[in-house]
Amino acid sequence: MDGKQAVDILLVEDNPNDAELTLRALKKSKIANTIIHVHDGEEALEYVFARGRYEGRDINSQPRLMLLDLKLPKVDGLQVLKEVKADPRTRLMPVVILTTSKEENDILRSYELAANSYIVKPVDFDKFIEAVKELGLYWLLLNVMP
Amino acid sequence: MRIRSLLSLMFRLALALTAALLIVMSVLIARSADENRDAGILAKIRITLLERLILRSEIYIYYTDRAVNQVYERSSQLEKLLAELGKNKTGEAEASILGEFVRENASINSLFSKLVTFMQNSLPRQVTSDTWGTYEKLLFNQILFKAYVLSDDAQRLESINRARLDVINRGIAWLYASTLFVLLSMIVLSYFMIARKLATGIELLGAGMVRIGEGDLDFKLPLNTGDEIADISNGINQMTTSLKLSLVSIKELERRVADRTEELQNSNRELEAFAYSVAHDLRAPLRSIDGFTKILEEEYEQVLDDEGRRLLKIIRTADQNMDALIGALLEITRIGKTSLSLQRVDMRTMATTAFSQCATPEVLSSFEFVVGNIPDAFADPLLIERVWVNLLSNAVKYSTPSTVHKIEVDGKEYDDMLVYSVTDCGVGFNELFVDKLFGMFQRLHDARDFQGSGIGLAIVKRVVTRHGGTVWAKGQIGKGASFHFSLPGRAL
Repeated sequence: MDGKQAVDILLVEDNPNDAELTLRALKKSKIANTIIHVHDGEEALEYVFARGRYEGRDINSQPRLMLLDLKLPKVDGLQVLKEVKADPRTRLMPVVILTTSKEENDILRSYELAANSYIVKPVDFDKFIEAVKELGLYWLLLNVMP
Repeated sequence: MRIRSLLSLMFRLALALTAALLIVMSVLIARSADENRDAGILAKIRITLLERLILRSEIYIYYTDRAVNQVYERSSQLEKLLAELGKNKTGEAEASILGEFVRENASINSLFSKLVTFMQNSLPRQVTSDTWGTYEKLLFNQILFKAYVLSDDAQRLESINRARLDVINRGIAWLYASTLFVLLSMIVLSYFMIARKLATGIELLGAGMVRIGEGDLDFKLPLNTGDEIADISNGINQMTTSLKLSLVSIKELERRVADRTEELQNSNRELEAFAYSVAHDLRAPLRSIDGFTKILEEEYEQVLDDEGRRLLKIIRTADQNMDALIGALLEITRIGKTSLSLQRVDMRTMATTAFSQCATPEVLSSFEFVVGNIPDAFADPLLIERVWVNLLSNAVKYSTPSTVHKIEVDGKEYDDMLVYSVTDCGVGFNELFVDKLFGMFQRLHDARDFQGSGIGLAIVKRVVTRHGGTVWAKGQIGKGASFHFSLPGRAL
C-alpha cells in the first residue's frame, strides 16, 4: 500500500474469514477503492498515529472511515475507539463498529465513546453484503464531513 | 428461705400466738370471776357483820327475843358465807386471816350465847343497858371488841381481794398491749420477709423479661434469693440459653441459605454468560460458511452442475437454520438476564400489532382475527410482546394447512390473576405430549411440515414465569389448539 495516498477504509478485523468476506462485500459494492486491513487493535493504533510498523506515514492523511471490530487481540476495539476519539487529529474520523456482539453493554459503551454507528454482522451473506453496501454508501458518499 | 415455708411459718406462728392468748385470757378471766365472786361474799360478810353489830347494839339498849333470833340468823348466815369463802382461799395470808376470823367469830358466838343465856335466866325483868350488871357489860364489851377484830379482818381480806383483782386487771391490760405489739411485729415481719421479697422479685423478673424481650439473650436473671422467684429465674435463664442456641442455628441456616443462593445465582449467571458467549462465537464460523458458500455459488457457477448447486443451497439453509436457533437461544438467555421493567400494557393493541407482524399481509388476509375486550396487564412490554408474537405466529403457522383460518384472542380478570388465551382451528396436537410443548427445542410436528426453531413456546413460558404467571395448553389433533397464560393482576 502506498502510505501517502489517501485511504478510503481502514478495516480492523482479526478473523481472516470475516475480513475476507468484508473485503469482498466492499469490493462487490464498488464504493471503496483503497482498503487497509489491520489484524489487531495495536496495529490499528500504530496505523492511525503513524508509529511502530507505520512510522513515517503521513499522519494528516487519515482513512475516510474506520470499520472496527470489538473483540480484538492485544488492544480491544473499545480501547482503540477511545484513543482515536480522544486525539484531536483523529477524532473526526467516522468509526463504525462492525461486530457480532448484540450485547446491550457493548452498544452503550461504543456510543458513549462516540462511535458513529454500530452494526451487527448478519450471518446471511446476502444481508451482510447489503449492510456493508449501505454503510459504505452512507459514510463514504452521502455523509458530509466538516 | 422459700416463700412457701415463710408463709407457713407465719401461719403457724399466728395460730400458736392466738392459742396462747386464748389460754392466758381464759385463765385470767376465770381468776377474775373468782375474785369478783369473793368480793361479793366479802361485801355480804361486811354487811352481815354490820347488821349483827347494830342488832347487838339494839339488844344492848333493849333486849328482845326477836333481836336475839336475828343475831343468830345473821351468825349462821355468816358461817355459811365464811364456809363458801374458805373453799376458795388458798393464799397463806388469807388462810391465816380467815382462820383468825373463824376463831374470833366462834368465840363471839359462844360469848353471845353466854350473854343470851345469862339474860334469859334473869327474866322476866325488863333488861336495858341501864339495868345491866357488870358481868354482862364486860361480856358485851368483849363481844364488841372481837367484833372490831372481825371487821378489821374482813377489811384486810377485802383489800387482799382488791389487790388480787388489780393484778388480774393489770395482767389483762398487759395482755392486750403485748398482743397488739406481737400483731404489729408479725405484720412488719411478714411485709419485710414475704411481701417485699415477692414485690422486688417480681420487679426483677419483669425488668429481666423486658431486657430479654428486647433481644438481649445474654442477660441472666440473679439466682441468689434461693426462693421460688429464683426457680422461675432459673427456668427463664435456661429458656434464654436454648433460645440463643436455636437462634444461632437459625442464623447459621440463614447464612447457609444465603451462601447457597449466591452460589446458585453465580453459577446461573456464569451459565448464562457462557451460553451467551458460546452463541456469539458460534456465529462467526456460521457467517464464514454462509459467506463462502455464497461466493462459491456465484463465482463457480460455471463449474457446478445442478446437484452441486442444490447441495450448496442445502448448506446455506442449514447454516441459516442454525443461526435462527442461536438467535432463539440468545433471546432465551436475554430474558433471564434483563430485569423486568413493569408498566401498564394495553394487551388488546399489543396482540393486534403482534398479529400483523407474524406473517405476510397476504397470508394474514386469509385469517379471521378476533380480539375480545381483554384487560390491560402490568408487565414488561418488550417481553410480553414476544409472548404474543410467538403464540400468534404459532397459531398462524399451524392453521395454514387447515380449512378454517380463524384465531381468537381472549382475556379475563379473575380475583388476583389475569388470564389470556389464543385459540386457533389449526392442526392441533396430541394432549399426551402437552408436557413437552413448552420445553426447549421440543417439537410435536415434523420439521418438514412446519418450520421453526422449537423454542418459541419455551420463550413464552420463560417470559410468563418471570412475571410470576403460568402457561398451559389444550388441544386435539385436527381440531385446533388453545394456549393460555396468566399474569398477576397487581397494581393496575
